[in-house]
Amino acid sequence: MGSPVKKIMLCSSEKEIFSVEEQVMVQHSVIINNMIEDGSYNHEESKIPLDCVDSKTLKKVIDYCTHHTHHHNDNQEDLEAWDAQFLNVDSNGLYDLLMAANYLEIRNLLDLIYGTIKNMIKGKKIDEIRRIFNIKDHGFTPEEEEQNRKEYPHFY
Amino acid sequence: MKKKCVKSNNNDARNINDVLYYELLVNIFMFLNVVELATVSRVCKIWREARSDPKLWHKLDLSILCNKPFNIPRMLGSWKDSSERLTKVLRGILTLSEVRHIRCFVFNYYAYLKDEHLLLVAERTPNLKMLVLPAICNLSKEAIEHAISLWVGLESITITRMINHKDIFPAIGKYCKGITGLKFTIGFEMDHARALIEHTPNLKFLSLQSIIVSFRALRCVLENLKHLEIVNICHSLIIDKPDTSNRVVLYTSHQLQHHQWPLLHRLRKILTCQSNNGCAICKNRMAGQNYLTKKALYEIVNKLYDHE
Repeated sequence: MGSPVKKIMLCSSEKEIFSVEEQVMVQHSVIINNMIEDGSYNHEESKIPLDCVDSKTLKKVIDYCTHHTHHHNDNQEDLEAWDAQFLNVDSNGLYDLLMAANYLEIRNLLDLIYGTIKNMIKGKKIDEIRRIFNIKDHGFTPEEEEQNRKEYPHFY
Repeated sequence: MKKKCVKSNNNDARNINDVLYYELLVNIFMFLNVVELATVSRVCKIWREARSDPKLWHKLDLSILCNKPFNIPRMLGSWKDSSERLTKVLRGILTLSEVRHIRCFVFNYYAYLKDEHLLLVAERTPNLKMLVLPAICNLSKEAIEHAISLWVGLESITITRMINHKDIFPAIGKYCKGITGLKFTIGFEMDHARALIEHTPNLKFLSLQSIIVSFRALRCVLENLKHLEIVNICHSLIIDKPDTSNRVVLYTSHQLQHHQWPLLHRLRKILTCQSNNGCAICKNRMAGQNYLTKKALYEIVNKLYDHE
């Protein structure tokens, strides 16, 4: 076999270090790909600081990238089932993943999360949406809110 | 782009607006249709602002009318006898939309379009650049001219079979000086070529994809439209009657390119199906399968050429 698998170090907001196959992150994260390409990552001493991403979320992100690197030849159904299981998290977990995927620019994970949030909105009434996303202060004046409810009662 | 960083140690469900910022909300809203966007704009002030982002309104595609709750059947000329209902639906959708941002309007392909529908949309979407017309319609010359006169910024139009070229092209030539793109979804014949040369002399992009094209008409536009840069003839069937006999020659777009036709090479780009062995779609078409019987095809050829 060839040379040993190249690894890179990622550092979570709790300063926990994760060692990941370089190829896995390069394939998925635009930011990390750029860092490796422009030489700003030094394999001897660099750690990529991810101050916005906690350990729990970073572990999930790495799981996602690893699975999609090693199983990209799986049939579509299996991958979708895996993704659905992967995103079976509460809304806080979902937001954390979204922020991390956005920070690292992982396009397919972003689209997956956007799609999930879209499904949480689609076909729902406004009161329900406010509950799901915990929006307590809608910011409308009482008059505006009343006007909206009067005009579009079927939305509520 | 500034990346907001929110840390939270408690496990209560967070308010989505404390976490997500504007761009991310807009990206999520990209997945929603116009009715869902109307709901979203009433959830809260922050969502209302995000759902008004121009990015979300660039294109209004009425193919969604085939889905719930509108359920326009996927049959050509649907709702022919329900034009008032279509007016109501269109008015509702335009009211819920950020019409000033709409640049591209795609009519529902199946719904039967009448004057009042076209004019309603034209009056509300003054900043349109791209227009895709439906398959079946019954539009008067006056309505077409009035609508086109409201859409002076149009750059590209998709012309379908029920639009009479004698009605639309003079209006385009008169009002839409910036028109640079046209797509035909009907057989392309000499009358069309003449109309283009007279009324859209600055045309850059011409799509004749997947239709029957008269060789003579194609040659005519290539010779006369000096600004033409790109012509799309993917999956098209090009027919020619090279002499006065009844002999008809058929080319697929790929074969045409192989003719080393000098005119084609003057273009910046000609789009053809990219296969050395011939494209499967075109092969079927040549064999008269899946599309037209040979007899029907020859009838069309004769009709096209008798015309001239």
